[in-house]
Amino acid sequence: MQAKKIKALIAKPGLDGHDRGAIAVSQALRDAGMEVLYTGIRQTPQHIVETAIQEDVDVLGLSCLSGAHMSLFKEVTSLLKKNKVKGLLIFAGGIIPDDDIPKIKKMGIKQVFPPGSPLSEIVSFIQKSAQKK
Amino acid sequence: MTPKQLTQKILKKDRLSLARFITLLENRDTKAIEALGDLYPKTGKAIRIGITGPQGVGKSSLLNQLIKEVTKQKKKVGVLAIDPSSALHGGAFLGDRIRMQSHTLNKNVFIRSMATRHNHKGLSSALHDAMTALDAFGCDVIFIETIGIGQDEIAISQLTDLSMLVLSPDFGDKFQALKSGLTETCDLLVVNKIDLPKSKQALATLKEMTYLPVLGVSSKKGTQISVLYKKIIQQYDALKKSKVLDFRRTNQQKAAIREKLEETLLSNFNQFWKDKKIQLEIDRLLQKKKNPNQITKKLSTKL
Ligand SMILES: Nc1nc2c(ncn2[C@@H]2O[C@H](COP(=O)(O)OP(=O)(O)OP(=O)(O)O)[C@@H](O)[C@H]2O)c(=O)[nH]1
Ligand SMILES: [Mg+2]
Repeated sequence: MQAKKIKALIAKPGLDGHDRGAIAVSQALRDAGMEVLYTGIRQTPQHIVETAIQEDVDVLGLSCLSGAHMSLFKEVTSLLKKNKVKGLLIFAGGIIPDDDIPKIKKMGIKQVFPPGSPLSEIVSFIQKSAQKK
Repeated sequence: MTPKQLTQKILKKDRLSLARFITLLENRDTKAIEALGDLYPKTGKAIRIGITGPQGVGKSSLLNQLIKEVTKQKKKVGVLAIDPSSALHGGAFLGDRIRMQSHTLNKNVFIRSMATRHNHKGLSSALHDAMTALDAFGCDVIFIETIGIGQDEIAISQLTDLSMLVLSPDFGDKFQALKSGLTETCDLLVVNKIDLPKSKQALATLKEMTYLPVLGVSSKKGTQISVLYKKIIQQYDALKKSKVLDFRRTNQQKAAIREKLEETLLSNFNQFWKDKKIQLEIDRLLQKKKNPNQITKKLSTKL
């Protein structure tokens, strides 16, 4: 039996084209020893969920700067439920008003990181909370 | 769900179970490896094709195009795309998939990225087993993309029905350097990016250097892709007809068994190497009480 690894998918749902943050998070997770996939910009919720299924990731990071996060996150989380994906740790990043955070957490998204969050904070959150398979 | 239950669901074409089972194989989970026994009898239908070549020549982009060709015929495709794990921190960036993601929502396509995780040949230790799972899942064609470091070229040709080496015209003068060993273990040479300048010359140079079929394509423009796919199928049919395929498939199993035994030996050896006795011997070396040959000889008797 080999050491298990945390596998993460960093995804950008919606229409904004800014992915510097998403790429920086991807690199930080990789440098912390994780296996990381990045979807690229402008991915649909269907696409993100199917990728998470085929790749059997432990962690899903959703980055959204377009303002459409509520509907996009809702769609991702309900598609995950519909497809019976279990044990996935989901976190979000991007420009998200404080008022939305409780509602986002209700969808099953564990943590929200505002812009400028230290990468080390995201890394240690994942290392603490992800369930390796 | 237990690995055994997962295999039953794989046979019923459940994607979630297939994905989870491959994870267990990557972890070399003993129960999952045992459960492969239920899948082996259902294998043999899939054509297994290896794609290798230096970094950045366009292997993933070419795969993206080839997947289109296969799915046009309503066939099922599985892809295993390997990327390197860092020796430093063990992390990996799995970057192949992004080039093929236009196929993600196609139910006839299943793409899975894998990191090498210190596999000593630059493949994935789960590669052969994951192909078994994809084959039993019902894939008609399985493509493997390797990281293209040279030594994985021979390894992948031993684990697939046929394999191709992808190069690009900007290699130009470097073709000569490739000649030693690289080009002859595969069945087909593909020069990608023929939309770039100087590609005619590059193709001509390469054709002079090898007896293998050489084909120029552009994955960016989609040029000659259907010709390439036809060529692959032709080669496969010829292998099948001449029974060379049976021979290769037996050898694939043999290579996979050898690979697993080698890994067991290596892991036993790594355990041995951690022993305190080794350090004691090394200390003697530092004190100049013994020379390296004497130490090697003594330790070799304990292996
Ligand atoms: N001009 C041109 N560029 C191409 C072609 N195919 C791929 N590329 C470009 O070459 C670069 C590398 O392509 P990939 O498909 O990722 O190459 P790869 O061999 O899979 O790379 P690694 O997996 O990192 O080894 C990308 O920028 C592609 O857009 C082609 O036919 N023509
Ligand atoms: Mg690639």
